[in-house]
Amino acid sequence: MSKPSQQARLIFSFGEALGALALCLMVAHISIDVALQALIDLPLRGTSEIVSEIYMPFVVFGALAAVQDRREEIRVDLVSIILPDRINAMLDRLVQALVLVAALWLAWHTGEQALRAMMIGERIELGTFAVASWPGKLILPFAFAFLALSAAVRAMRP
Amino acid sequence: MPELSQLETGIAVLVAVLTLIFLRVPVGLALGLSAFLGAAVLLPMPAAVSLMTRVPYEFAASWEFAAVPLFLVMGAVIVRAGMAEGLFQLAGRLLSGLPGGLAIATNFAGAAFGAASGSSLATTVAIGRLATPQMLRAGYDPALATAVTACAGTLAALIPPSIPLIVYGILAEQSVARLFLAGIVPGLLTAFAYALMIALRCHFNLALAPRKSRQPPADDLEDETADWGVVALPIIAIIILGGIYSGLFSPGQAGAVGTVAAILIALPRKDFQWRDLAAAFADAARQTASILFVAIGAFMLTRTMALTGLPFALADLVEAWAVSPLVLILGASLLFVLLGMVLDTFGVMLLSVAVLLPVFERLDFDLIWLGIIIVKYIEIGLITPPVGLNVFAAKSVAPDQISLPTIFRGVVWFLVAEVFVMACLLGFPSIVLWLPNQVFGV
Repeated sequence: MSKPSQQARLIFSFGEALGALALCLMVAHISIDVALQALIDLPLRGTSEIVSEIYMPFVVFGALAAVQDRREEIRVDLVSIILPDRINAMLDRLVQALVLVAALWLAWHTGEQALRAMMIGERIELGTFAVASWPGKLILPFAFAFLALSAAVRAMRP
Repeated sequence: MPELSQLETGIAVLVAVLTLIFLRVPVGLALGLSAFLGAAVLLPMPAAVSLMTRVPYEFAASWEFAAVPLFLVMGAVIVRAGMAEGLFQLAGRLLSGLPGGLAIATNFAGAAFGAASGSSLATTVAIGRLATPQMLRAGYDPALATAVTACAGTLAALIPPSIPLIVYGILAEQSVARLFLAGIVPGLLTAFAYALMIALRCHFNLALAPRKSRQPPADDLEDETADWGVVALPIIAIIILGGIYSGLFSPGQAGAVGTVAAILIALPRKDFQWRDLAAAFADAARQTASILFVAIGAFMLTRTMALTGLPFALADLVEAWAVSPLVLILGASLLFVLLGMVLDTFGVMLLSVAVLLPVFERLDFDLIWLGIIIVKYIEIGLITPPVGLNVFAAKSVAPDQISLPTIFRGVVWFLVAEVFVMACLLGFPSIVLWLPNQVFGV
């Protein structure tokens, strides 16, 4: 594997690790919430808001580029069975180009939204305290940029 | 260029979706891109951009969808800890006297494993890795030995906790707890129909499965993992279902509790290390990204479909033609089977929810029953050529010399059993609705 490819894979693994870590924290947070509710009838305040607005964006988008890099994305390989290898390879490059453009476009627009949220210090009010919610938005432009990178790497692979 | 009407735009969007999918564009991107193009035709460009680019965050930032990664990580821990082994061995010991006993054991082990893991592909791979070599060693027909693992995996889509049922429940705004209960009887009916079909075939055709004397003795099936696996999976299933129906936690929270239970059971074992746990979380993060990326695309499509008015026009058309519910469900069945042959699980479900749900709602169909029917068709699509994802999964853990056509040849008999099951579920909706109505009231 070429050096740029290896470095790109490190970035994808980092994203995947972020997703896995967020999932781990989400499991712990919800379990503690359920246990406290069951044992002393005192659930953690704001669990659903923190899960949905902070953990979930990291869980959903963190590993997006790793999925693309490992060819684990959901797609239908119906025509590839009947087409010759050369055409399949060409088609794959075209598809990667499409993924690249779409991912960059999404990175740009979600980046604008994330910056706006960060500038105004968007947060979730939970009664006596508040939690910053903009980090959940910030993962999107990075995830889509990583996705674009993985499409570029895949298109360049022989 | 002549301007497209709203309905024409809707139809063009659906054609674009199918074309892009056939060109091997990732399904999520195919759905999202077509939806954006449709919105761009119908709305001023800035409005279309704003509408579509907000979807990924709005969709992902969801408490309801948190159930998907939570159950996926629970399934990943169960798979990596090898909890299927003991279950398969117990079933093998109990059922080895029946014609095709090992195949029937594989079938029921698949149902039980699916009840804990929630994932069809994970079930097929976990059960196939164990059962296929043992059946082949015992002299079973390769087509039967591989097809049964592909088909047993599909039972996970119905027997709770089922990830497709969670996704359907959220999109169709139906109770996930009710859907889980509604899936139990059809799931068991399918498992018993498969078992009956296997027993009858093996009874009349001895070449398919040698009788007990040639099968491996029970001692061969035992190893140190046997007993704990037998106990572990039912414990997890009881914690999940007991907690949900006693009101201790919601279906979403059940995924987290089930994960903790699976980890607590798996970690004391020598062959399950911390790195296996980390790998299980990474597996689940990738599976979540893969599934919910499709769901985000489908959510964009739902918004565009609402703009085009196509689903409501279809509903009007069905009402104007006074189409009987039976004709409608049979027509939809044909469509689901055709879509299931070329699309993946979530592609079929999300497209059908986006386009067809208003039609069924207008005709007062029970949406819990409909959810089970849609998931059943998806399950059938998982074993139907040419896509049949579960068949590919069964192939991935089968010996190289067993070809895909061989597995599909074995699957045909399971499809015959499915015709019987579907006739029961379509003809007698109470099979589906009886249990949830007993627990929650009508």
